[in-house]
Amino acid sequence: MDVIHGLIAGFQSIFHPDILFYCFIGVFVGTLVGVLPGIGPIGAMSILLPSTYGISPAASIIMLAGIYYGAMYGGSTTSILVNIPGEAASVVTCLDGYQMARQGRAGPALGISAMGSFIGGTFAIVALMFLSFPLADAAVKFGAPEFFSVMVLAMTLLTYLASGSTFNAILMVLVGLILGCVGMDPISGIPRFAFGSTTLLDGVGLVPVAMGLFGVSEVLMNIGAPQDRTVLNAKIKNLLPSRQDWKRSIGPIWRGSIMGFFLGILPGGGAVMSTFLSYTTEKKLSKDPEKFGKGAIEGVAGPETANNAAAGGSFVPMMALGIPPNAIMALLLAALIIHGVTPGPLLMSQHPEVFWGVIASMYVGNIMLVFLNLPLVGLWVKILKVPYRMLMPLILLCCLIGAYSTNNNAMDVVIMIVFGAVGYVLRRAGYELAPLILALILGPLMETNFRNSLTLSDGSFLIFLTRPISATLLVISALLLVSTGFSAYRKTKKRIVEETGGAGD
Amino acid sequence: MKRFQICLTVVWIGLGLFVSAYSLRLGLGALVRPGPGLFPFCLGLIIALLALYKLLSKQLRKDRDEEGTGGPEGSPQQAPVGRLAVLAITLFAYALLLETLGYIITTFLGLAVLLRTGGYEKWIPIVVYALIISAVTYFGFTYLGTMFPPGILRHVGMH
Repeated sequence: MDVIHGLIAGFQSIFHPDILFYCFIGVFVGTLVGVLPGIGPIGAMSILLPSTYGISPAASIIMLAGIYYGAMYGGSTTSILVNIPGEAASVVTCLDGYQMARQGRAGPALGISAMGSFIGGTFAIVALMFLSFPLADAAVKFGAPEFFSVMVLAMTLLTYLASGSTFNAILMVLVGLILGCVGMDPISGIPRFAFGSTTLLDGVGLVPVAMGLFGVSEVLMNIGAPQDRTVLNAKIKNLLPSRQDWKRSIGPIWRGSIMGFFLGILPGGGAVMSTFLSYTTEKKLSKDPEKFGKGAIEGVAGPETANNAAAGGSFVPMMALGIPPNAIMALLLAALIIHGVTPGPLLMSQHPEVFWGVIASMYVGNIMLVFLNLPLVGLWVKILKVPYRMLMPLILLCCLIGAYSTNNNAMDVVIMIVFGAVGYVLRRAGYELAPLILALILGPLMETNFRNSLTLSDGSFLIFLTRPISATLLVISALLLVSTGFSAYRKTKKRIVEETGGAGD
Repeated sequence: MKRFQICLTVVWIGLGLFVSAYSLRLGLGALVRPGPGLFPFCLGLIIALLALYKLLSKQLRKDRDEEGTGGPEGSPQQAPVGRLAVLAITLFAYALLLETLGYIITTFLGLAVLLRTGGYEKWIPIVVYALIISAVTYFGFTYLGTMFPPGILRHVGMH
């Protein structure tokens, strides 16, 4: 079987000391940023991206991928012990995890979280292996109109699934697409929106923008906010869950794995949404729903499994189609392109060492993470006690180093700071930033495919509707937009009825 | 907060109009052979129209605008303007001085200000931490392959 042979080749390629070292660095840094609030996996990946320029594509992606799924493990530690989520996908774990810790059950909470993460992560890797091939085979039949339509659907899904205002999410997508136009036009080579700047001729740069929007703006948001963190001082014991814990957790773990994996594939879905959905589902299915929020182990097992499964699922569209479903995958995509590897339908045939190397490394990385998060949990507890007044300058310094080392250009640092300020203003106004980053990455691809499609069709827009796959994707996008607009219309109508009804009383 | 939202919406309208006008100068081309300005022109137009619609619908509504604070972090509380200003100036100064003074000196000075802004009050620990962090990050990231500017320390032989 091709899958088995590929997997064996993948394991053979990663069992070298240097590859294992980079895998370990990735999962270690991932756990660290997951534990520490203030810098998420995208910030860490941006900072370490320039360090990967001198190593092989497989090693660099293995390290960066390790940061992503490592952060899913690490986020639970601070949620359980401090009641502050290390990163967004661990918010839900605070609800029951911290309560378990207060009841002296921090050990089982951490244990089931690590085990569930391992099972969810492994499930996602297996599913990734088997799902990528048929998807890539289908994508080989895609032309410019189909790729354009897939990206339209991706952005529509992103705005549809936005947790805040859909309208604001659409604005963010448009701003991201406009930012993607800065630099040389991909077809004619004419400079656009560069205003004479040689730095802007290459575009605004994903790394400075991402670090500004996610890293610097996070620090600015935290300035002035109280940073009291009381780490529970109780001794952490019984890390291995009991039989009773397993009996209560096995159902949530399997459901979380499936739910998380498929949500991870969807643009805008991902780890955060999967945790909320898993928690809600387990509460509904539970015989004792009143125990949720008071230390129910199901409330930890399900969401923590789901977020790791979602992390694995998000690799599917990125590897098979070359379309990142979230900002983190967008950064991985950029890293692959920098190394001369184009993800997409031909990745598995042209660069099997990258694809199978990443898959094999995820198995190894998940095992490393169980050891990092269980026996070495004391190390993370010590790190949690570092005061924020020390962390804040370190986070900012890492951002500054990361932005500068992209091109050894101080202008990239200025761009990062500008976007840090922009990100701060947008977050205070209630805008989500993920749609902007995704649109920034997909924009140039989207435009190229759009223009090539029009050239193919001699200027006729009907090409998008006469090709069945493209038409189907666009119809789904239109239906999603209409349902969003209809829902907003109903809300407005209800409000007007209430206002006029109230005025008449 | 409402005035802030309105200002932001006006900014989007301005951005959309600017992008559309600039794109016209780039040239829209023809549908058979789209020019470099076509895609951004469409984007600019859509963003301006959407923002205008949002502004007009906000003005017509009596109640507090749900969308402005309905987002994940719409936060009406007062921002610590002084500390934010210090942070912003420090970061910009860091970017502008990095290549002139070099990584170690700029980082040391920047960290000292950031540690002070973050809450450390005594200067001896600030100086010690700033020195240690500058040195450790310099050697650590240099080992990982990052090339830092030596700045004025190139005169004492640093590369």
